[in-house]
Amino acid sequence: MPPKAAKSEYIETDTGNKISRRSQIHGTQHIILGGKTVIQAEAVIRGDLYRLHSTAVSTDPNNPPQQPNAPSVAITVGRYSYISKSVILRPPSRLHRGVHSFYPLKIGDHVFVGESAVVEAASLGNHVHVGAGATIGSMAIVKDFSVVLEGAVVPPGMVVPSWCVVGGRPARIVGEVGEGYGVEGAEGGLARERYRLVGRP
Amino acid sequence: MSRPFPYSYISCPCADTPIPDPAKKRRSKESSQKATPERTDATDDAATPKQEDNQDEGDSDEEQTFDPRSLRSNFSLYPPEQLLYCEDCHQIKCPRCITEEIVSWYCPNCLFETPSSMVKSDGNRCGRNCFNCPVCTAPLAVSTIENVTGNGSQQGPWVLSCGYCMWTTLDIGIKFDKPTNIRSQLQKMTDSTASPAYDARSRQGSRAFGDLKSPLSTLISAEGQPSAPNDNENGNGNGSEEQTKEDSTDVAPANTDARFAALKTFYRNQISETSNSPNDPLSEFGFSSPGALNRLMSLYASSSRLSGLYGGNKKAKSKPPVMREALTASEGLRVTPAGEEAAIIERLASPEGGWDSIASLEQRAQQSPDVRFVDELLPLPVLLRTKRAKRCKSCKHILVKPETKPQSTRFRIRLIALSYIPLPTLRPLALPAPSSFTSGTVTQTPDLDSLPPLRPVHVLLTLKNHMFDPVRITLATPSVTPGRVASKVTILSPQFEIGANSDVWDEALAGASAPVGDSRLTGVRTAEKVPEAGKVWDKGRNWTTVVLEVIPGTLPGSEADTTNAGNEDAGDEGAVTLKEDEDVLEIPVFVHMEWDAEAQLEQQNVGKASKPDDLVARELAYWMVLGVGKIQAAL
Amino acid sequence: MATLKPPPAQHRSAPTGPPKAPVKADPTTTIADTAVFQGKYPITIGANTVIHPRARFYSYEGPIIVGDGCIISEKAIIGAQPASSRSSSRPASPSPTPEPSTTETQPPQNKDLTTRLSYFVTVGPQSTIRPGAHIHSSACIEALATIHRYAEIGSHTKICSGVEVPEAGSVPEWTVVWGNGIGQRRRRAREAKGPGPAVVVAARVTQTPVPGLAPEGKVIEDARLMVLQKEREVLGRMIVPAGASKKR
Repeated sequence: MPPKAAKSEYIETDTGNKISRRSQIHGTQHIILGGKTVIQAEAVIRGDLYRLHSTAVSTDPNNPPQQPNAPSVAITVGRYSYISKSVILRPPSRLHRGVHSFYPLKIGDHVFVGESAVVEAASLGNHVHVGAGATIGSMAIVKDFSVVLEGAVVPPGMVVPSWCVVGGRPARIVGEVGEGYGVEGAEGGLARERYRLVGRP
Repeated sequence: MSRPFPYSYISCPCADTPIPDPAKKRRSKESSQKATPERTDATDDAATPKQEDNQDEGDSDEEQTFDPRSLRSNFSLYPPEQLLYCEDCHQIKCPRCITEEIVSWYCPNCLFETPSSMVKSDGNRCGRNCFNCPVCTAPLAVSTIENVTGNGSQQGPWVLSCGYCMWTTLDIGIKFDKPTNIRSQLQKMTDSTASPAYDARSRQGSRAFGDLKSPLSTLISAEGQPSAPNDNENGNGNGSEEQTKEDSTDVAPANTDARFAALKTFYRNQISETSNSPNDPLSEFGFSSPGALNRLMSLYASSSRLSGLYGGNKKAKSKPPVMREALTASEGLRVTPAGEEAAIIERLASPEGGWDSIASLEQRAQQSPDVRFVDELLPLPVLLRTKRAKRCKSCKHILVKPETKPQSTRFRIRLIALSYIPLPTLRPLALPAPSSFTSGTVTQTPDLDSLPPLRPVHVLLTLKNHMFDPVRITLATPSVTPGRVASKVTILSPQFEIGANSDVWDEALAGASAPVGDSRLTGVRTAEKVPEAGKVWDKGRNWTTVVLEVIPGTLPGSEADTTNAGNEDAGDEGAVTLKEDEDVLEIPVFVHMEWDAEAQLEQQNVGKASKPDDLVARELAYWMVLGVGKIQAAL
Repeated sequence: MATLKPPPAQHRSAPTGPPKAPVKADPTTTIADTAVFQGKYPITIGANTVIHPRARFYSYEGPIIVGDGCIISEKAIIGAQPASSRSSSRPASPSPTPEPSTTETQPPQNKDLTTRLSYFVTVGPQSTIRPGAHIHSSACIEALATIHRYAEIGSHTKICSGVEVPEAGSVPEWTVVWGNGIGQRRRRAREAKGPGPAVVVAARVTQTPVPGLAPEGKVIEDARLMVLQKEREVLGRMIVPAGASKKR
């Protein structure tokens, strides 16, 4: 059904993820996609920056990072989330008790990450919209139904509460979305439609 | 937030007030009546059916074509998801026709709820460890200085540090001993209101500080600061001292808050002393209170025979008491020390001074008025936010009630307009192109950011019904868009029906969902599908798509149109005479919807119900604006 | 829950591909296999430097020197591509940027197209450092920031996300340029600061001794550099180095 040109752009997995062949995904074994996720071209996803098991890390720097008992998850992306072109998803890291380690980056359902955004958050909730060119600093937490405006710089460690709109550099709460935000088909609820359009003529 | 094309906004009917137009006085009067929400009850037959006539413009009282470019429409157009719906008024409610009440207070940083009693007593800032950077407003993190690298127990001094601009409390020379209760630690360090056992004379020693105080902060008369302590002893009379016991003679409040508190106490005492009824509880409220009025009245009354009428107690009959102003430092007076300004100027000019050392206005707005330099900025406890319930302004029914818990995103009540009015979505129709393979963005569709003038484009308008009843829709639009850029618009099938939002299973079992959904979404069907007048483009379970044919007009000043005479220089995209956003093609569309609702528990409507078996005919009408795109300047 | 099978990383080395730049890297350097080095001039990379995947170095116009202990994040661009370099050398829009201060502004006439990053420099994801820029030691260029040609960034200076430093612009050391860059910058504390006036007054009021001198502001920077050190160590173990063509 899809014509040739479209066919070559995206790989569709069993769970319906549509992943651009030109995406740049590292450490796939540490990435979980919830299904129906879209990853566009040139998006960089750093699954290779996963959390080393504490036993392996703590004091012995020579301990090779390989063979953790279970593959530790670096990045989870929920259903119907959309990672636009040139986005960078990078697990956050910090020094805790003398050990520098990476923490998982959790992205919820129906999340949209706009073009060229750099996301280093600890979590993006459901129905979060990240505008193009925004930066989400390390360990930031963006709660459900919130909007990060284009070009905003969410500083490290910031918490963006639900229903809030943040913008600016550094980002501050500049408003709230309407109660209907996230309703299917309306603003914040377009994820399914967006997904369907991907790779279709 | 402007949205990318295409978009759709809905005009709240509350804005449907008349535009003063003498020629249409009668009509505007009527429409103003209609605008009052009480009368827009859908069961009120007088209110809504008139809109049907709108297609022949100016026929009825709904003569005003909604002009999206009108300055007023800025205030009535809302994205659909921001609108609410009152089930009692049967009307759309915008943020301007609701009232809000606070359900809970919470800190946006730690997401803890703050009881409203604490908000009242401690102010609306987070009492925990949440602070914003005074330089850049980013949140501050509590971090340790010592043994950043060390393993094990984290000891040692703590600081607040900004992950964005790298400001730390070390910049202002503050460190904390514990990582908890930072706010009270900081308060202890910086706030002297708690226990102002402070010797005013020693304050002179800290010249550096005194000199740096902003003269703007003081609205008091000039008096030598050194004399202040002495004045205390003489001038400080009876009242204030006994009542504020920590306010001893030699004590001068140090910071702004303390001074304000002292002044407040002083003037309250003055009022109570000078007013006729010292025990009047209202005097607490200061000058605007009846106590002040009493005092004024007694000034006049004391000499007259009427004195008996105005609470003639002994005091009133005697000499009218005179209220004096604050005189001493302990009363809250602060005098600008001599040479303060010179010191500031000196500091500005010094090598460490200059641009980077001066706090910006934005930074100072959040701080004590004395602050002038960056290294005097204190961390700001995070302002609390609220969860709010929303009520209809006219009938007071509750429209939105969120759950109290800050973390919860659920609502106990949420009557959003999208559950009632059809959700409009707009999409350009891909021309039946020979090659139909396009990826993601449809290449055959016109570029909405530069529509060529005078070339017809087709846009698909999908209305999706979220109600459980089928809806009959009548769309109307002026054949030519208002404004100087006249684009022609034709709705090919203005009357149609949208199915009920029945169980999804119905559709799933019917098995028709997938193919229909595809065509609806892609906008490209088989090559021979051509928009036809009088025919809906496509239809699904609870949605219907119709085609709008739009012929974008020519922009004034473009090659196609040289007749304009405007000299506005707010040029955009090369057209010199173009006003701002005039190239944006927005189509006002009037939507009239009718449906038969079940008259459930609405006894007041029973009499008006026109249908049998408990069905009530309902109507709703409103304007919406479809943002199609931008028109190219040149042909 | 599906594991992905990513496409093989496509190097820009098409048959008629761009010239691969001569790279001189210290053996202790960690260079991800998907980093790109193109150009004519040599690229020198110092010890213990970490280069994340998809970082791109273009030495068409001049050599690139990266000092010891730097971190170059993914999709950072250092240098300029030949095709786009002329057109993009000047910022298309007059970007709001801090006015250049007077500290040894490098005259553009000099045309020294060597791009220099001193030691312990952090370059964030998707940031751009154009030819001729000179980043001094321990500076931090955050994500999506742009350092234009011949710009000079002082040591221990931070250029926050999205900020652009204009051509031949100069940012003094120990400075943070933030926000939209229009004069939104601040000086970082290096030495110990006396307690702020509010603290002094409050201490007098409460008749408690004024708190002693807080530690020097420099400790914060020391801590940051220490964290970077740790980060480099961890990254050195995690990043798939060039040459090790096992799993990606």
